[in-house]
Amino acid sequence: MSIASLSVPALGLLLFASITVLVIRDWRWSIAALSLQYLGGFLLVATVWPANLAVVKLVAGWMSGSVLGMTLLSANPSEAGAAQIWPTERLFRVLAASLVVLVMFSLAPRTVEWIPGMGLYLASGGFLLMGMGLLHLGLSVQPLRVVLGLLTVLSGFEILYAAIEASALVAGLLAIVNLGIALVGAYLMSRSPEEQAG
Amino acid sequence: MNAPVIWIIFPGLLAGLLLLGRRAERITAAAAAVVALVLAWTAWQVPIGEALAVGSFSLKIAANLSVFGRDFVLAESLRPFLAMLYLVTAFWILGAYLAKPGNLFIPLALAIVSLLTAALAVEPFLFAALIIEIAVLLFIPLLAPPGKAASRGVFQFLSFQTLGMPFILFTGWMLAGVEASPSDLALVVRAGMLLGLGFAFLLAIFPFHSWMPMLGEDANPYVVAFLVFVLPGAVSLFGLGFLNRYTWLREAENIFVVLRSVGALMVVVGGGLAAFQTHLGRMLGYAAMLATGFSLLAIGLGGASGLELYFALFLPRALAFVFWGIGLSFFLSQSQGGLSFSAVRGLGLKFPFMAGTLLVSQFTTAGVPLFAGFPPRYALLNTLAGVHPAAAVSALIGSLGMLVGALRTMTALLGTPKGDAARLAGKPGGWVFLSAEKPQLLMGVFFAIVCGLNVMVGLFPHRFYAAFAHLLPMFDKLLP
Repeated sequence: MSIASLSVPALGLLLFASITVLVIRDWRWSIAALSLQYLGGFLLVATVWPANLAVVKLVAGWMSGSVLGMTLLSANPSEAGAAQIWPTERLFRVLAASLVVLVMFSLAPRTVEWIPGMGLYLASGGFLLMGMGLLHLGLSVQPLRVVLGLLTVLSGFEILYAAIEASALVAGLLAIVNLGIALVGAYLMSRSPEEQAG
Repeated sequence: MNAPVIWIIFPGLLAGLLLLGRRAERITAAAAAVVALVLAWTAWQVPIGEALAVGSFSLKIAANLSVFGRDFVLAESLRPFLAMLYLVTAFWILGAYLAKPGNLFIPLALAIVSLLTAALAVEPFLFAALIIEIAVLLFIPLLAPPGKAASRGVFQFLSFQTLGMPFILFTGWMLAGVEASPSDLALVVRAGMLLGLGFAFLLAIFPFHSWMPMLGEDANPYVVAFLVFVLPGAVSLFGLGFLNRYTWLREAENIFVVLRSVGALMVVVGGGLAAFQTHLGRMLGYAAMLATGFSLLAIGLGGASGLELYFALFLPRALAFVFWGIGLSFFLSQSQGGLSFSAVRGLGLKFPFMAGTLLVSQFTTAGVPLFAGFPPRYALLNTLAGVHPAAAVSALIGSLGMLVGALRTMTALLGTPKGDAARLAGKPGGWVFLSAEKPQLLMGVFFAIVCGLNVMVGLFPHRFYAAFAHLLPMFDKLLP
C-alpha cells in the first residue's frame, strides 16, 4: 500500500481532529486531537516529501503537544480539566466549523489549478487547517486556545508549503517555529493558571 | 573565518552565555556592550571578501556560510549596515543598564539582533520570514517577564506576526513564477495582494496595529521601545529586499503610489491617535506607527533619494526611542499607578531632567525644528510635496498630532497632582532643577547628553546623515 492511498483517511483525520480541537474544551482531548492533526498532516506531507523528512513535522508537532500537555499537567491539573462549555456554544462552533469546511473545500480545487505539484487532498487538508486555526483564533483569547489556533494555522500552511518547497533548512526552521510557539505558549500559560482551562 | 560566524553565530552564542550569567547585571551589560562595539568597529574597518595583511599573516573574511545546503551571505555591501546595527545595539544595551527592563533583556536583545542579521543574510532571502518569526518568539519573555501576567497585546503581537510569515513564504514562491511570466496578470495581482497582506501583519499596518498601543500600555516601556525600533526596521529592510530582487515588482505601475498611500495612512492614524492619548505607553505605540509610516513614505519616493531618506530616518528613530524608553521606565518606577497622565501628573516638577529627556524624544519623533528628526523629515516633506501632495499634507497632519501629544505630555508632567494643588500652591520650591543629590546631578548629565545629541544632529545634519549614503549599495537595483 503506497502512502498516497492514505490521503483520504488523512483528510478525514484532519477534519475530525480540527473540529475536536475547536469544540472540545477539555485540554487533554484538545491536545490529543492536536497530535492526531499532526499525524494527518504527516501523512499528507509524506505524499510529496520523502518520509524521513516529513517525519520531522510529526516529531516537532508531537513535541509541541507534549510541551503544552506537561505544562498544563504540572500547573493546576484539577482546575485545568474543569472547563465548562454551553451546548449552544458547542453548536455554534460546529456550525461555524462547517462553514469554514465548505469554504475551504471549495477553495482547494482552484488552488490546485495554479500550483503545480499540489494535489487536491494536500490543498484541502492545508486550507482546512488554516481555516480552522483562524476560526479558533477569532473565537478565543485564552493562552492555550490562542496557541492551539496558531499551531493549527501553521500546520495547515506547512502542508500547503510542502508541495512547493522541500528544503531541509525550511523544514528545520518551521520545526523550530512550531516548538518555539509551544514553548512560548507554555511560558505564558505558566503565569496565568486561571486562564489555562480555556 | 567568515562573516556570518563573526556577526551572527558569535553574538548568538554570546547571548546564550550571557543568559546563563544574567544575574551579574553589570558584567552582562559591560560584556554585551563591549562585544557589540567591537563588532561594529570590525564591520567598519575590516573588508569582507578581501585579503587583509596583519603583520606577517594574511586574513580574509569570507562572505558566506553554508547551512543545510542554503547560504548565509554577508556581502561587502552590507558592511556599513552591520557597523550601524551593532553600534545602535550597543546604544540600546547601555540604555538598558539605566532603564532596568529585567535581566533577560540584554542577552535576548543580542540574540534578537543576531537573528535579524541572519534574516538579512539568508539565501533564498524569503526564508528571512522564518528567522524573523523566531526573533518574534524571543520577544515574548521580554514582554511578559516572569512574575507578570501576559496581556492581550502579547497574544495579538504573537498572532499577527505568526500569521504574516506564511503569506511572505508563499508569496516568495509565487514571485518566482511571476518573474518567469510577468504577463500573467491574475498571478501578479494574487502575488501582490498576498505580499501586501503579509507585510501588513508584520509591519503592524492599520488595521493590524492594535498590539502596538496595547503593549505600550502593559509591557515594559523600554522593551516596547526596542521592539518598535528593531522589528519594523528589520521587516522594512526585508521588504526593500523584495523590491530590489524582483524587477516586475519595482517596475509595477502603482507600487510606489500604494506605498506612499499606506505610509500616509499610518502617519495620519499614528499621529492623530497619539494626540488624544492619556497614557504615555500607548502614545509610544502610536509614535511607532508614525515612524513606520514615515519609513514607508520614504520608500514610496523610490530611487536613491527615497532610499537615502529611509536610512536617514533610522538615526532620529533610534535616538528618540532609546531615550523615550529610558524616560518612561524612569517614570514607571516613580509613579504609583502606571504611565497614565493622572499617574505621572506632577512628576516633571520633581524630576525635570527626566521629563526633559522624555519630551526631547517626543519632539524628535514629531520632527520639531532643531531636533534630530527635523532634517530628514523636512527633506522628505519637500520631496513628497512635489510627487504626492496629499501624502505630504497627511505627513504634516501626523507630525502635528504627535506634537500635540508631546505638548499634552508636558502639561501632564508639569501639572500639579490632584489633592496636592493646595500644598504646592505658592511653593516654587517644588521645582528641583539641580540639587546636591547625586541622582539628580546624574539625571542632569544624562539630559545634557540627550539634548546635546539631538540638537547636534538637528543643527549639523550633513555631518551625521552623510554616512547613510554608504548604506545605499545594499539595494543596488533600486538606485538609478
